[in-house]
Amino acid sequence: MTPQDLKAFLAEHPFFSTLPAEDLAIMSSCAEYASFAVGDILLREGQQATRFYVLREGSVAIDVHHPARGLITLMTVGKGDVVGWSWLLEPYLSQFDARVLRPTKALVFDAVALRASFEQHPALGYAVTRKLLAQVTKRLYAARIQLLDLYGISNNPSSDSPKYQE
Amino acid sequence: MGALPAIRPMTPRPFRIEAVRPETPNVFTWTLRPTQEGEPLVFQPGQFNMLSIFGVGEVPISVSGDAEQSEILVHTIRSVGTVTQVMETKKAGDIIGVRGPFGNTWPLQAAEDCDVVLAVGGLGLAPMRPTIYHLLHHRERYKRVYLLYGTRTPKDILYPDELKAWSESGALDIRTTVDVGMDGWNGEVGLVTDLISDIRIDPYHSIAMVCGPEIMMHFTAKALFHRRIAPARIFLSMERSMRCGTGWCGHCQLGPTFLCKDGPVYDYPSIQAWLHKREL
Repeated sequence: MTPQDLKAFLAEHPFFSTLPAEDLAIMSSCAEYASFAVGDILLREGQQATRFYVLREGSVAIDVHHPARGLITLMTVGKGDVVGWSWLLEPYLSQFDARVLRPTKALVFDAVALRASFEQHPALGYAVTRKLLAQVTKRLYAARIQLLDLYGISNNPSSDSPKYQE
Repeated sequence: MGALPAIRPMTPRPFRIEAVRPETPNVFTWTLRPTQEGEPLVFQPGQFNMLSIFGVGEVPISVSGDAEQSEILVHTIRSVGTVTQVMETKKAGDIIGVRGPFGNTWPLQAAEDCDVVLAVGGLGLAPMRPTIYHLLHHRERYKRVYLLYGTRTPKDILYPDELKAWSESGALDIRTTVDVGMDGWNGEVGLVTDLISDIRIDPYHSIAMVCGPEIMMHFTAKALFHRRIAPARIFLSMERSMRCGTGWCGHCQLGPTFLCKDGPVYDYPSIQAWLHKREL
């Protein structure tokens, strides 16, 4: 993907589409386009978060390792989603693993270079932080709904078996 | 959404269990056949029957078989309460009682020439299966058909062989997600509502049918609104304690409506005011 293609892709992507042209130029200067195979690890829990990814296609699992239960997938993300935001917050360590489930194409951002750019261009930093916050909010909402155990609740626990039951 | 009324609605008819098929832990499927000559028990997708174990009790269970196979009845049951735990011990050849069918049906006629979104959670796939069979039998009448299915874990997925066959046939676009992935699961992990954002539909010519626990339907309806499907085009299968099946006893009353008689299928605006009443 040429630098021009990168810029055009960013301009069309919902995550970046509202950014002005000069900000898109800064973002694209920190990005490269990459393909990943099944099983590739994009982020590793506890390691320095030096990259973040905006997925163009494919599927990525966000995993956590449980000492007794092994690898547990917390969620999967796909086209249009962002993987990784620990790069924005000290101590810049990834909180989870991110593992490619299906062949994936993504924009890969050099997070260290981005942070430096944000220091120089606070308005851009604020805009991207707000967009990341929207993603964080979306995931927090999903996590809270998951806590409700959507598929296991009966309206009538005292009755023996309503239609699709208890 | 009118449906066929039950014949002699308060009298259980004896049916023989022809087959018992284990599905997932605590969930099994009965194939039933009437023991006596007489009118076949004809149902339509969305309806339920009252199944009884003589001397134990009676429970409402949705029909999960094919409405075009009227010679047999198929019910998928979760063993969880007093009656259903006894049901789980029954074997092929045992006799049980059946009253029904009761309730109204999914809006399959209104959905013709539309995109159809079936969103189901947990055991909600069982009541939806007759609808899926209908859509498959009459596939040419419908446009894009999506089945969005969420369960707790991969082990809880109902009818995996059929899901695979339906998907491979190309007749349905099936997307499954689980709350908790396990080793060997390479599918989606997340909410059934997340699946809605990715489907390609014409929202102005789409009908959504949602079946699952009420909390799941609440959030699914919200996600469907975000896709600009009008509330009147979203249908929910409601659940309350059904006893008589005819609206006489009042156990299943929700606001001004009796689910067993007027429901269980409602368009969203009809039931909206009562969905969020904390006292109900």
